Amino acid sequence: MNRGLTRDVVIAISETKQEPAWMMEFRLQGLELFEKLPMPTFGPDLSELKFDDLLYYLNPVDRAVSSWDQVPSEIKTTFEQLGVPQAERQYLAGVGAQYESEIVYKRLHEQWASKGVVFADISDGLKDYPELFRRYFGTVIQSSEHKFSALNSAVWSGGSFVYVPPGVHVDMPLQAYFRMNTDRLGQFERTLIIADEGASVHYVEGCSAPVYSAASLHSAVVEVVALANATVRYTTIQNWAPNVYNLVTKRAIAMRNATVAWVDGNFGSKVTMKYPGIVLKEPGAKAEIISIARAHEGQIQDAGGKVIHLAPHTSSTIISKSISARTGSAIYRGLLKVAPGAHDVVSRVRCDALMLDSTCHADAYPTVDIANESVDVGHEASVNCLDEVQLFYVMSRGLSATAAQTMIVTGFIAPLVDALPMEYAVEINRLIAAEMEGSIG
Amino acid sequence: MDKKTLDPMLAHTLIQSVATASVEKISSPFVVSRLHSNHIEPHSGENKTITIEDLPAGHHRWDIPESASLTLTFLLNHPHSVTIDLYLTGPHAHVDVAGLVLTDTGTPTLTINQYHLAPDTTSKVLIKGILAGATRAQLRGLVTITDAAIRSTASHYHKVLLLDPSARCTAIPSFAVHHHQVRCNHGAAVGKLAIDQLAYLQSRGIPEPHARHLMTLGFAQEVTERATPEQQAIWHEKIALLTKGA
Repeated sequence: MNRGLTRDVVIAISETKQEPAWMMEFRLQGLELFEKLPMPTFGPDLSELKFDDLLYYLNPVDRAVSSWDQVPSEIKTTFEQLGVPQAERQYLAGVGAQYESEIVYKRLHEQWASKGVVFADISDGLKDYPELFRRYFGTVIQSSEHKFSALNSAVWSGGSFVYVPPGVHVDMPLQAYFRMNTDRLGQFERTLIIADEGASVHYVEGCSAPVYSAASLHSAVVEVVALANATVRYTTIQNWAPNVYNLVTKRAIAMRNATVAWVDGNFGSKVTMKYPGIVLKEPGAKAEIISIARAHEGQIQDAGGKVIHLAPHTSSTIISKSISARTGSAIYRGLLKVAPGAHDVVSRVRCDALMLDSTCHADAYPTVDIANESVDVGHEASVNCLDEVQLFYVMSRGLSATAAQTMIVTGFIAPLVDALPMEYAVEINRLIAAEMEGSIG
Repeated sequence: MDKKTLDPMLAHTLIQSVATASVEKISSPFVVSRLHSNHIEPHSGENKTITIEDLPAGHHRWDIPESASLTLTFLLNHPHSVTIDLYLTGPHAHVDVAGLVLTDTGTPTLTINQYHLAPDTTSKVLIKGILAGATRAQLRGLVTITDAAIRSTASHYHKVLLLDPSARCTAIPSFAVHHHQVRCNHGAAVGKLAIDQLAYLQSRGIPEPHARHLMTLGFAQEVTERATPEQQAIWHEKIALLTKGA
């Protein structure tokens, strides 16, 4: 497929995937909107993004790096520091597939299928569950919202389709990592998760090890629907290679008494713009967003969270933590909105930035928009450096300066780590320890 | 000076600075009226305390040079836009701002920008809003700490009380920090009068309207207590008018 985005490219993607006519129409409308909509007027500079130079559909074979030797040395070093097994290293670097997990995945898949849980590639979801798919696809995030949601609508490829039937609780996290479909690392992933009434599910994607990609733009769209009394937790850890623009739109809708939680860790990429959102649409719904960003070596992590309270008796919590060092910029951008009819709303927003040296940068741009008097809403933010008193205390107990600094930073991001499955938590602590080596100015 | 005769849009010249007991202790107590706000600025090493009875619409700027201190207290009681820029230009400059926004109409916008340009500077901004009627108030703030402003400390807080269901508030407290050896905090809180506190006062025999008024005065006290008793009386009257209408 040629570089650049044209009507023919969009039609070719749709035909390659043998999609129904309505999806091709949806994609073409997305293309029209993409051409009309302007670039974002806020946030990091995206002028280096050249849409005409991008490939909009990569076959899995094209995407892979042909040999281990082609993987950048920094990526290999980080794999070593994190203790990532050799087979996983090759998989993450795009050299090969992680066949060792196949048996585990098959067994889990049988368990889920017996309960009616669907966990499939998004294209398989469209083919195998057309009515369910069409009822919810594109309803949470409209193509017309901004240039990148339109782009994803036009060229989406890869991602997951999850459906959990009423009353079913999926005990073990569904991990995209285990789903062996070759499109997992798509540039334009599209994920749709539906938790039916009273169901619960934890979906995990990404990993803390660096993911090497030849493509320079990752523009995903994730839609989550939590019906009445459902619980959905969505955990993302991204550590894209430093050539990647990671521009992601994620939103969930929570119906009566439903709970949605986003746990979002941003460690890699050149530029990240990601503000996971939750719309609390019916009474009793709850939202929780935990967002952690680490920015270094010229990275810009523009992350945060958005909660929109449309109904009474809804509640939300946003916790954002950022660590910046070595010319990195960490930006919190958030929205807390309470609609006129949403009385008895409780919300807390807390964002803290830790700056490790004099070359980095931290910003916070929160918006608190309240249209109902019967609310209890609080936002608080702080910027600090490593506390010398704390450092002195820890070092007086016999730890080296680096170990003391690592301990304090690890404590700072504890809200994220506590919310992660164990294997992710271990890797993130190792990642922080590796990063702290020589990072203190 | 009868401020009632002044149009807030035109009254940008009317600033009243007060010499309070604490001001008397400082090196250069400053008492002035009928000066443009831009002209009432402390010189190096000087401390000034200024209280503005009704902050005029428009753009105001204060430069605070080396070792100078500015304490600014104001009431904003009109539905127009006001921007205040505070430039901490010299080492050890200090500014402390407390403002009260009282409104029940229109779309008042208050923007306060704190620019830390020198080392060891400190700034504190506290804005309390009491909003009633169908007002749609916007409170904005930006703390900028440049890479020269090492060891600086800044805070910026918005606390808003909504008295009517149709009152609306947007708070946007932001910061941009370019040096790591600093302390910077900001926050925004929006709520209504606490029902349990209201019930407590009523259980002590205080009628509900009076209890509401007392609680609203208590909410505003952090700002109003910085004014002279005469100014406090005027501000309390304005708060009473707002709570009666709510």
